[in-house]
Amino acid sequence: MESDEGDEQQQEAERLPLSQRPEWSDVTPIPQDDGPNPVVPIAYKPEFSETMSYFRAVYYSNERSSRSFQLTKEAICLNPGNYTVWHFRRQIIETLHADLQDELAFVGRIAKSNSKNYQLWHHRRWVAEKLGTGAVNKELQFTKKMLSLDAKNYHAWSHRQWVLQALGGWEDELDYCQMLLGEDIFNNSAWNQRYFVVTRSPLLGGLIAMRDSEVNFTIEAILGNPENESPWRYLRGLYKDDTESWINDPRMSSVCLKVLSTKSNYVFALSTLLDLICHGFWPSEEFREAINALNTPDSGPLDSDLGRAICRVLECVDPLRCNYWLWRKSKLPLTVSSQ
Amino acid sequence: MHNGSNLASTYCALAILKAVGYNFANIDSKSILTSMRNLQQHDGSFMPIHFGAEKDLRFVYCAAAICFLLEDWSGMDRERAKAYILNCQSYDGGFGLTPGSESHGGGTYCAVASLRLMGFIEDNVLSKNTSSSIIDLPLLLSWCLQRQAADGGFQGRANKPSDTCYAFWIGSVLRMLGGYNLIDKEALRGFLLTCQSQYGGFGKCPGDLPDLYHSFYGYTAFSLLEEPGLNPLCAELGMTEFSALGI
Repeated sequence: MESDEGDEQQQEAERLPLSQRPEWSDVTPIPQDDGPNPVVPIAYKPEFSETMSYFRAVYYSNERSSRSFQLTKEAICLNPGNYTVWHFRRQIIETLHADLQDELAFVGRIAKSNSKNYQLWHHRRWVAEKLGTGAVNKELQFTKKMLSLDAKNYHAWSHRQWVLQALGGWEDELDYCQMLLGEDIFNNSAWNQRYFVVTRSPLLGGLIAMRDSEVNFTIEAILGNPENESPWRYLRGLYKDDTESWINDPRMSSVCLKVLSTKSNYVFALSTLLDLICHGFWPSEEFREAINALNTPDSGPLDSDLGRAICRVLECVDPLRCNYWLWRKSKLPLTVSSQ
Repeated sequence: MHNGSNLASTYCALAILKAVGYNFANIDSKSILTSMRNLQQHDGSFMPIHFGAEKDLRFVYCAAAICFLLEDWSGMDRERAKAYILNCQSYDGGFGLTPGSESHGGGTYCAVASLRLMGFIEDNVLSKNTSSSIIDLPLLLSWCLQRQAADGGFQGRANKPSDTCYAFWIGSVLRMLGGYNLIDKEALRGFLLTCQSQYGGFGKCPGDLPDLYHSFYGYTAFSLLEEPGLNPLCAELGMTEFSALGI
């Protein structure tokens, strides 16, 4: 079944009204019925109204034909958000056994200018699901292409995760994350995908098995840009549901200490150290010294309780969250001084 | 079936009717709730329409809001919905729109608001000393507060630019948990004012032309800030308290 290739842009300029197309002469268009008192009526362009009136005609009569198929393309291009049109197009595809590869190509052509359209991505998923595991490479390629245009496109990531879980293709995913992080270490979507792969890939050993190498990779990323929130969150995530191992891993506190020693970009280092302490980590004297060495403008003598001291520093150096650090300080257990 | 219902439309319709004080006794709740039950999936999520569409937290929220407005929870299996929501909490404390996806302001709002509406999170939970919670509350709090960027605005995801609407999505979560006072209100106010258009309304980022969506959320954000002249907001429903009560 032929579909017109690559003519979506042409259509606008050369469009012949449907009323003048001989192949549509037997169809009576059905105008939109907004009822007797429409509220906020939309000022449709004549070509839009006409297209949708003809769509309604074939939709209500359930005509699943080649001309209906072409019409759905026109309607989609005029309003890609109309999920009823997309749905009817899918029904026509099934009835006519339309070529699914052609359909992927069609979606691919209009994807760039509709990259955040829910209906488009759902349609892509529907086609890919029908094609099954054979579609894996194409879908990974497609999402890779879309992510090269916008590395944080939520729909693209969502589709990519669905492809991996439903159809497979995990082999190169960790490398792909690595590549994206190489391009932009601040890309939180790539960090999230890394977590997704590390925890769910059937080809890797699972979180515990991967933890050691992931911790090392993450620490390197932190030391390169300690002001980057993503790796700090990722590091904590590696110890999800395992607080005991988290506070007992010497690398956790040592990365905080390293960053504190640079005396710059240490907000996350401080908050992480605070969290470690709150969960039972006992800081040695060098942590006390590192905090003292920060020399932040403070309103009084440093607190003998390290947790309180950290909160007070954070109130100064992370003033946007001053109220939060005051609240955290108020919630600290009353402990004997760590000295 | 040519004029099938859509969960999002149903939620909007009911919210609008509530806001204008329509008598809900005249609404065919039974049909709505029956129809809705058929939209819930095995994993607890919801599809918006019966003939197939994407499924994610947005529609769980729509379902919860509808049941809440109709005061009838027969429309959904709350336990299953809760399970789905919990699966959406990311390793960093926020919630993604689907399990495994990146934590996101909109997803986090849908998650927390749904849990609140369904009765799984108590009022002002942060001020209570209960350490047991079905979600990782301290991590969620930390994530939400970290979303306030240096320019005072809120971002929807880590390392992304601030956007007017997240002052509502994230601000609401903080309000629902009892932590709204932990933000820097002055800084937020300053950011939002830079997003206000000379023509009225709000745009997404400073200097942008206004649109209805960002204008609505700009106003709700100011309501959360208790701006004089604005009515108090019911964060769970995204409507004024008066509207939520049908006044």
